[in-house]
Amino acid sequence: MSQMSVVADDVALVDLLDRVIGEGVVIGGDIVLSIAGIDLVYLGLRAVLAPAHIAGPSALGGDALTGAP
Amino acid sequence: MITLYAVTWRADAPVLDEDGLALLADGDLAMVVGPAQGTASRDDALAHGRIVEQVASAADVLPIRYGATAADTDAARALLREHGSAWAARLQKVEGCAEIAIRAAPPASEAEAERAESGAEHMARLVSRTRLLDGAENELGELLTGRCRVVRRLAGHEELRLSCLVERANVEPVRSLLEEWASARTDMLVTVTGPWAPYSFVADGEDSGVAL
Repeated sequence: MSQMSVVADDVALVDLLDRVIGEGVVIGGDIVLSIAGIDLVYLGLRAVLAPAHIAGPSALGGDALTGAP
Repeated sequence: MITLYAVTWRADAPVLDEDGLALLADGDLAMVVGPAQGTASRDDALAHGRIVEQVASAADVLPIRYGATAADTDAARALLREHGSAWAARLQKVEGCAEIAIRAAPPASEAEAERAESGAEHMARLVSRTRLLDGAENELGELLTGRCRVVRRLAGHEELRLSCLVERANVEPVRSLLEEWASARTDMLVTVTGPWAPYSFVADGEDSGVAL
């Protein structure tokens, strides 16, 4: 596998995590949102996989993790 | 406790290959559920995403955000009853569509990687980056007009992140168009991924995208 394909695969992985964790239908009420600990796991993955231009501190905090505007 | 993955039309609900997954139906809708997972982890989140993508490859879905659980199947069915009409309306909005994601950002040069020497220099860099990203967004908006149902800009100050809701028949042509645009933007690093389940277009009050 070429380096370019590895990078593309890694970005796809981050894009999937962005969506699974930060987007989609949110269910409240009696449902328990059990995402405790996920931010740290996600942070670690982004630090490893993010391209150099987004791997700085600002890309690893705030809305990069939560998707909040 | 069970894990909730996605909502789909009952009539289109696919056969589920994975062990432990089940379909719960109520009215016109069905929900894909599975056994409760252990501690939240990256692998668990990715596994969740892959199950949603597997269902989305066969049917229209509302992907449920990772981490949602219900006490049991009765509780999950109660959710389908409670939210059925709202979820059916959202499913209609994304019917026949998939999501394509675009990330674009200027490459970090050695000079930019160094700390700005003054507040003015820092602000100048921010303005320059913002102009570049806004310009790219405008170009993409023009490029995608008539080719996507909705385009939404996701949060992110360091890079431009767009999500496009695209009819499945147009996914490959739109991807090709975006990759061609990406190759021409030698001043930016651009990645195009997808098709994904339409995660970015199904959240509560998700009307912030621009209909094209």
